[in-house]
Amino acid sequence: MCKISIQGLTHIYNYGQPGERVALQEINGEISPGELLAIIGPNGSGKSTLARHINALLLPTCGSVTVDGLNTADPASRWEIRRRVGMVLQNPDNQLVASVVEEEVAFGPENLGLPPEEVRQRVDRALSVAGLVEQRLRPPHLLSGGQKQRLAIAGALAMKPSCLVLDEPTAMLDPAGRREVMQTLLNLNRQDGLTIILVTHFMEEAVLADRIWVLSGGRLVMDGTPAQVFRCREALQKIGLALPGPAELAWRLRNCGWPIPDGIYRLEELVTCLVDLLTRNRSGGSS
Amino acid sequence: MQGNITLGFYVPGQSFIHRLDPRTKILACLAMTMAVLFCNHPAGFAALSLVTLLALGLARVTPQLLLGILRPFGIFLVLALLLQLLFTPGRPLMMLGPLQLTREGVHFGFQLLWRLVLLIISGSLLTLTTSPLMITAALEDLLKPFRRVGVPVFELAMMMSIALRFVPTLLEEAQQIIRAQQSRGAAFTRGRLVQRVQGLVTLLVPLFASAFRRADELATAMEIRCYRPGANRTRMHQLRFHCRDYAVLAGTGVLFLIVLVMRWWG
Amino acid sequence: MILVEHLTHIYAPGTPLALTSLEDVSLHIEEGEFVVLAGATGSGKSTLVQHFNGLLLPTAGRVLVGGRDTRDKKVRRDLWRTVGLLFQNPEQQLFEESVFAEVAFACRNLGLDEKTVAVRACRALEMVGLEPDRYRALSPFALSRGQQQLVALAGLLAYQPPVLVLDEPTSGLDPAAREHIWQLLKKLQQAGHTVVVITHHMEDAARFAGRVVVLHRGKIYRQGTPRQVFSDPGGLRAVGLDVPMPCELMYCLQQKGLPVKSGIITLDEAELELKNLAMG
Repeated sequence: MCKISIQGLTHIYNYGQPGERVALQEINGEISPGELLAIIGPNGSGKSTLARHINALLLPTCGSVTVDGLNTADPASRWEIRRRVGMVLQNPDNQLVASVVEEEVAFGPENLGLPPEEVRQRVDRALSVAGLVEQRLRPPHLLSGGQKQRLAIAGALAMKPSCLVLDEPTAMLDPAGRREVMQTLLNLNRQDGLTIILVTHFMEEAVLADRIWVLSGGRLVMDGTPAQVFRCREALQKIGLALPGPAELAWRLRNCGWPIPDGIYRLEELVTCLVDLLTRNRSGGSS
Repeated sequence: MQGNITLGFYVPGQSFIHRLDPRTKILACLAMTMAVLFCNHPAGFAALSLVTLLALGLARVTPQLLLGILRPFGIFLVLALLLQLLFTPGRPLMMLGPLQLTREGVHFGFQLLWRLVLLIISGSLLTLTTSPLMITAALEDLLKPFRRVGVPVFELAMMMSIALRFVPTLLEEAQQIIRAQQSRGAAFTRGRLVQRVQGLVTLLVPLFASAFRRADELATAMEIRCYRPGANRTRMHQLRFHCRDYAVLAGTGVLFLIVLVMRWWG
Repeated sequence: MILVEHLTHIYAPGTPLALTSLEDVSLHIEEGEFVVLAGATGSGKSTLVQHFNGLLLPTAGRVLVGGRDTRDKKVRRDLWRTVGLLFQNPEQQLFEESVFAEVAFACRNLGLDEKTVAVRACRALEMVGLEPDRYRALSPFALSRGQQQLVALAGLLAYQPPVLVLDEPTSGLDPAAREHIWQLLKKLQQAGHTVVVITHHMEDAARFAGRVVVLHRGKIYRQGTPRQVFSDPGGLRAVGLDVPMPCELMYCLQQKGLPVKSGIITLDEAELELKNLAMG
């Protein structure tokens, strides 16, 4: 049950001071429970700023952000919002507080003032979801990058949030680590129905989302399913983004007159489509 | 800093010492420290050394690890020994140019060396076997009485544990920055004094910038997980004294008393 | 240009924490080559490149740069002039009060006169796409992370070392900036520089590298032209790497029984091959 609603959100850093900078302008949107939303955009487009509004780390200069009807600007509901909306940051090294994996996961529930047995339960559950049970007594700095980020996810899960916001969680990982983290996120979304908001600059990750928001210059310039967004090649290119590989190839072939349907952006879809086309073509040609 | 065991380095494990209540370990460490400082009797040193050896064994510290702990203090230890050896007045044993080696110098020098070694080991045993968060928890508990007079015990303890947690990270980062600057021709260990000082600037500015950046991000990460200074936190691991804790406390207490007795009445 | 012979590197040898980072690695990088080093975290890539400019010394084996042994103290001291190394997250090394001074730092260490330094620094800023007039007086700490990365890169380009070694220069940059940097590196290679890049972006590696070297657990796992190395998607995935999308696509089509030519690694090639296939 996590409905997030953003209305007329504008954020200006150093408002009314020298060095004033508009980071977000007039953002409107709703995120429904259980959705996997990817936020993409070039460097400096305001992705992180937007993500930090969802759990009241930043407050709107204008407009409002509400989580299940709780307004982030209301100091009384701030901690409840942070409990409901967990967050994972980019750098795995800077967000780990403890020197032992399970103490790291316990940090959040302990802050909530939960009884020790309850904390223990939550820690065990979060560690098993993140696949870190075997590492529970190890120091975090000896984990791999992917494991560290899964640990950060476990730390957030132990708060029993209904929504998880991740700010470029895979930017500092190698491909294997990236796959690990994405698989964990997909499981959480598909199996546990967790709402996930993923800020990323990897198109291969955005492709896995239910919906994509494209930010540019602090504005929400596109909002749609991956198929809808990746149809707009030119618009994306203009703001410095590239199509995912399969979509790019599909576009090129379509441009040469191949009958490839609009809205193909996954490798599997492209393969099926091409196999279909080429076999038909070949059998047609030979007969 | 791969390979260097630094102060505050924690090695997780399940040894007898690991399983002691952190409060026991802090108190025992304190008692040992005092005993080592007060001790002036060879028998006392022998007893303290034996106990330290026993503790090392119980904590399953290998000789290599022990060496690793002591190595960073090497220069400091040698220096302390030399100063005592060469500058203690007394009955001369032999002359080394303008300096003289005295019987008292040898005595005090090695006594000091042994004291320092024992102190380093007992301090390291605490940090090696106790995670910073547990040390924090124990300190919080031990210092609880001071909360009544308005000391922010919880916040201080949290600050300390985070400082300990970031020591290895910052050391590693310092090394990385030194290498990056050397790659663009900065001089750290050669050239005139001016160049060396400039070399230091190229290390310190980025190191501070990064420490602030990390601190900022860590603060955010803590806030995200609802850390509120002054709020009531609970702990997953409840601190509880077991039989072994009472035994260890009684043991070190007795040792401490014996050392005191030997000093003043022995 | 760089000759690595039976290089073994062990961190903290003789201690309980001894860690073998590289084991019997031999590699020859020719002058004017464009080499991509790939491998999962901890495979030894960063350790290897730090041997190229003498920051690290071999535990066993040797490294020759331009025929000279890096273990020689005199050689090592001036090695940075020949082999320019840009670390991962180079924004962590910034310390000057202005972008210009930051870019000029290495040039000044070379002992060039101020006029040459100024010309080179401005050119380097232009090369990385930061307008000199707009950025030179700003504090590097006021820039975004991506821009800081570019400033650090400009600092390397400004002093024009013959060999450029870059450790993940595009991590954290958006696609446009990434493309720009790769094009720039290609241009520098064509101008005679030797370029070595560590990256996880296999699509970029396929397009720009003359040779790809894959490290796995401190050893060379695969090595050759991108075409050779990417011909085995399963093997690369097993060591935690990606395969360029076109390779993967062609591999899938082959599995489905289509007579696709193997050795296709870029999007352009894939497009061409598909068209050929359609023509029959």
